[in-house]
Amino acid sequence: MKKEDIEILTDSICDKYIEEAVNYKQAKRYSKKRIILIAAACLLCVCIVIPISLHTLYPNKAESGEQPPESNNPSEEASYDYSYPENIATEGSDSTNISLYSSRYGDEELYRSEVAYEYSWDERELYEQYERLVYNGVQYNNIRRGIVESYIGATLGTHSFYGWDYITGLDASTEFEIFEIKGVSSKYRVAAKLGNNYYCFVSTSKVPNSTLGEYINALNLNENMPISRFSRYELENDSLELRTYKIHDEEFVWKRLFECLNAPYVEEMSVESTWDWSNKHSSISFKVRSMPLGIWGTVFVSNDGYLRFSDGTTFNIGKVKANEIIDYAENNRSPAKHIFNTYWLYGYITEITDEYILFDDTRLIREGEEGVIYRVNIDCNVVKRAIKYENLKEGSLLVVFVNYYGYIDEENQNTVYGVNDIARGHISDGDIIVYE
Amino acid sequence: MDLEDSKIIELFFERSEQAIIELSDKYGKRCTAIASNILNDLRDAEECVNDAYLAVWNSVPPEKPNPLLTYLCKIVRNLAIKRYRANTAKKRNSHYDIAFDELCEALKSKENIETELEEKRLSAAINSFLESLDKENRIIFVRRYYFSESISDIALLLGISNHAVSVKLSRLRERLKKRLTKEGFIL
Repeated sequence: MKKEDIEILTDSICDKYIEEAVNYKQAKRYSKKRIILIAAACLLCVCIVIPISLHTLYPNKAESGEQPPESNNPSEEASYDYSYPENIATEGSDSTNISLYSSRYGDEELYRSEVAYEYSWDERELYEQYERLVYNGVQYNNIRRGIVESYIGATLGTHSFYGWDYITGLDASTEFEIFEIKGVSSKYRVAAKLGNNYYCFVSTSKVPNSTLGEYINALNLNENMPISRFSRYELENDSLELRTYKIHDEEFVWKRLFECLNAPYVEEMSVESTWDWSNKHSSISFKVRSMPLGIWGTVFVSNDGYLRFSDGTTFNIGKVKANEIIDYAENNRSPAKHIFNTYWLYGYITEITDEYILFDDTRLIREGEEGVIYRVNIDCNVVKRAIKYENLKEGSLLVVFVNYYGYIDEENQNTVYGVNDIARGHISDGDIIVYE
Repeated sequence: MDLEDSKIIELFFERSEQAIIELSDKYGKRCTAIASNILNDLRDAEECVNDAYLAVWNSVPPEKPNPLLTYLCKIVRNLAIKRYRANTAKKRNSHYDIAFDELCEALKSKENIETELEEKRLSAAINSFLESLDKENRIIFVRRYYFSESISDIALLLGISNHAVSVKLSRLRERLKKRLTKEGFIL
């Protein structure tokens, strides 16, 4: 192509993309005395969500080649009070195993810049390799959310999966089995078994939802996604702090939404970016996560009467209903812990072999806490490539990112399960920085 | 307080010079930035933006552009590129050069676009390519290769590192090349 052809190329970009780019405004970020992850690398970030109904006990032993244990007995107790839910109707606990370990550090903040490694095909996990599948002529995209086996329903047969090696430029395809997700229409989402884990794939085809009731039914939303926790930034001593609250009646929002199941879908609002929408509509932001649906996001209720889900689907529930929800949340709330999609542990490496890494957090935890030596097994590509590229050695500061359903096995050298990334950290001005 | 676009358009229709003042107040900085990225000279950029205001004055009415900013940005960019070409005897170090050369390097081939039909196909191809991207990648691509914005400005806008923007651009060029190769524009 001549240079003139390249000019034609760029001149041909249509108005809607020019408008999108020229109007883009970045979301504000506030970081004070808490740990914040900045940016997420598409290569390394795996966000796995589960329902916040009860404590998690689900170690991802699949990453070490073993099947994860499951417990469906809500009455099972342990010293750190974990159990596995049979369904996910209610908000989960603030005190999972991993969240307790992760909360032992001091006031240092964790900053992580965008990770920009390009891993070879063989260095990637299966869920990183295969980004889409075709089922019944429709493309479904891998949103990289894991789904616990107990939510997996009937098989939908074996279908083609596609990926792309962006280093060689070669396409790849293979076949895996896909499954229904219990209670969820396969027109919206299916699950695929990639390796030892199941992952959620979302349909790219617009499924019409003329009412809120139809949308709720299609995703079994009220069963699969509790709405009871919201966060906001509040001014305290001239700085903005993120505060999280839980509403007293955890079923309140769903009760009100069930009173307006005929609320109409609003198409023109659903195509707006969430950032632009939330800038225009004063709203409360409920934080939600749902394992069966692979959702980790926000449900907005605006005081001009709109309900917007994290996938952009918007309904007009009317000002009266919307303000009932907002007023209740504002006036019937208690402080709650902020829930994270990913937790982190850090410490100095004391031993590194071909099979495992040991790291000790004694020097980094708050006074009064007892240090712990953790173990991370070197049995998956995520860990192997981090060792290769991060130049990890004894004495290095190691940061381990753990899915929120992750688990510390105290009976087995405090082995960390559910690792989704590890990186080398650096101390700077009392904070921990993870460079790319 | 900035006037709404529809009110600015009304002023143009009334042939009120206040229209230019309002346009400049609302979008002047953005336009100057676009022109500066291409021309690499503030005085040239300001002249270019003034020419763009005149172009809008001459076209509205009968045009009733919506959205106004997009219309104005396209005029600014086109005028800036035109002026830039006229200035090519001068040193070539503007962001426009750098961004344009990046894309040319990635897409170079012996094949040329010969016919109007092929031009239309190429137009369709680039927009189809952009459609397939997620929003962040699309914004990075358009800001870099349409608006000739620097990598550091794009990184600042998106809140990510310069290196991350560079890597994403590299991947985007590769993907575009693959798409154009599949469609026969590059062999």
